[in-house]
Amino acid sequence: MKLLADKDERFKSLFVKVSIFVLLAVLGVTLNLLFSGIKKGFFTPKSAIYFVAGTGQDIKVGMPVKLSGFKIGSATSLELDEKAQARVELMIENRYLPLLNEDAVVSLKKEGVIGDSILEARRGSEGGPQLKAGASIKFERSGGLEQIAQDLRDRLYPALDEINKLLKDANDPKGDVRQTLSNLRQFSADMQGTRARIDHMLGQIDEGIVNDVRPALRSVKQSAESTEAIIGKLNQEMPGLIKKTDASLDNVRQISETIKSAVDNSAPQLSGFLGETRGLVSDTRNIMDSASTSWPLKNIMQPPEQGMVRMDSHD
Amino acid sequence: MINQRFDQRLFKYLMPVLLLVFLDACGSAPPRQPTAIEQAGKADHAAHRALHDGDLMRARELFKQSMLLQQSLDNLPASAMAAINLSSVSHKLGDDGAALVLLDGILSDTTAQITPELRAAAAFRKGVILADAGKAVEAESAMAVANKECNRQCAFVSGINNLSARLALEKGDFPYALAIAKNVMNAGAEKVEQANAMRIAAAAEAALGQHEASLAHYQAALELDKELALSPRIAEDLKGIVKVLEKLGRKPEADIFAHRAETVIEAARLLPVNSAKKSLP
Repeated sequence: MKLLADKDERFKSLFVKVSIFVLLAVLGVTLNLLFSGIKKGFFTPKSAIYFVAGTGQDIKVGMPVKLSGFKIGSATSLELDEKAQARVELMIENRYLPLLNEDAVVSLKKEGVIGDSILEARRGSEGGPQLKAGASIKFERSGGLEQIAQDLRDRLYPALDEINKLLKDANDPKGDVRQTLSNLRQFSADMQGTRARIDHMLGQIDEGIVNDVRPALRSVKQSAESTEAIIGKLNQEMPGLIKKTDASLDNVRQISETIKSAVDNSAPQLSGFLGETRGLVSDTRNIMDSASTSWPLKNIMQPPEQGMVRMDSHD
Repeated sequence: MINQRFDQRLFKYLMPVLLLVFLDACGSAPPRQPTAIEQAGKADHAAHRALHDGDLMRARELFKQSMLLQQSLDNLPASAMAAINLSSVSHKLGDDGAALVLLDGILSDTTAQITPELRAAAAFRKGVILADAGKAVEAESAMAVANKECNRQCAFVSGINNLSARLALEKGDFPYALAIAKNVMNAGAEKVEQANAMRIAAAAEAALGQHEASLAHYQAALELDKELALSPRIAEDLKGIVKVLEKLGRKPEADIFAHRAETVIEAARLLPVNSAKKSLP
């Protein structure tokens, strides 16, 4: 027995109406989830492939796998194997799996300089056997900023070590550099003695010695001839070099003239442009000033300050 | 019935048109002045705008332009006003030499076109600049001129009195400084001069050993200066409070106020607007 009689016509079949409403809502939500799932690829058939990395650093579950810039799958699990290496499972959409060959390589990259890390797949050699579900592929880490920094470090450190060593050698009293300098100093002192002896000998020169000096003079003559030959060669090549220099100077002159002409041509336009801009700014200011002193803006905007600048006894 | 409906429709369409015509009539352009006068006016407006925005260098250039334009039109009162404004900006930029040259130019003008109020304003500003520079004797003579020209009828009479109080304070005549400052406070001067008078009174009271009264005046001045948003004055008030609190032996409170003063001074100094201004106290 009903406590209250439903006399209102609108309450008739209320249960049915509410049920239909709720069902429609549930159906809507379900369809929404379904379409979202399809769009997200939840229902797309996928196959697992694997790779092993020395370390799991920077590799995360959910990381996208891209081929030629398109997402073809994602990393679904990451675990440590018995050799303490990271074993990564990738789920690749079945329609893209035939695009990868057995020698395909997956590399860890960044999208842009500061972008997210992604796994980028390379197809492998053309005409090679296709990759099958459950197979393993090669993995390599490639050049992010850290890698570049590491490479730089690897190259710089030996160079710095060498420089350090050289400086140590230079400072070491028993090192080659110091020894060489010491030898040179000794040699210089010896040379002074030698020169003194030569001066002494020149003072006592006689005919017999002239005969001894003749071979040396011949040698000097040969040297002079060689020098002459070099100068001759230079004389031959110099005109060509001068021509090339002249041509370069001509090019520079032409460039300079082109720039000058460009500036000359654009200067009047620039001046006109500046003038027009100034005019535009002035007109805009006029409009704004006029508008600000007219109703209704004059009630909203503060009147422009004028008259004497305020100055008090402590300014 | 049909006619009535037709009338209503006509009325509905006619109203916006009438309203637009009415608005157009309200917004009619004012009559144009000669170009040079308009340019001088525009330069003056732009200078005030630049000053309001804190661009002192631009304000200086524009006031100079306005002054030259008015001079070229032989408009002496307007050029004197522009010169006074230019001197104020020059003083704010720390170029007191240029400011004094401009003000002396107005004060030495013997033509009748410079009104006593303009002379008084020029003399008052000269007094302020000289007082800031520590030239008390010269400042006093400038104040005498200001007092004579003003004859207690200028808008800045309380400023003149405060400046006299300041000079008395600097001379060590604390009772006289306190008396003048109290007169300014009782006369109901504008806020900025009220705050200045309170600060002078507080300093005089501190020198006279009336520390509680001094503290109260400093705090009242601080409230007003905060309302007026004047950083250098806020810093001055805080530093005054520190001195009084130290004399009262309230060191922990003094330390807090000292820290506040330092923060205000440092922040104001780091503001780009203040980079070209004269240094804070």
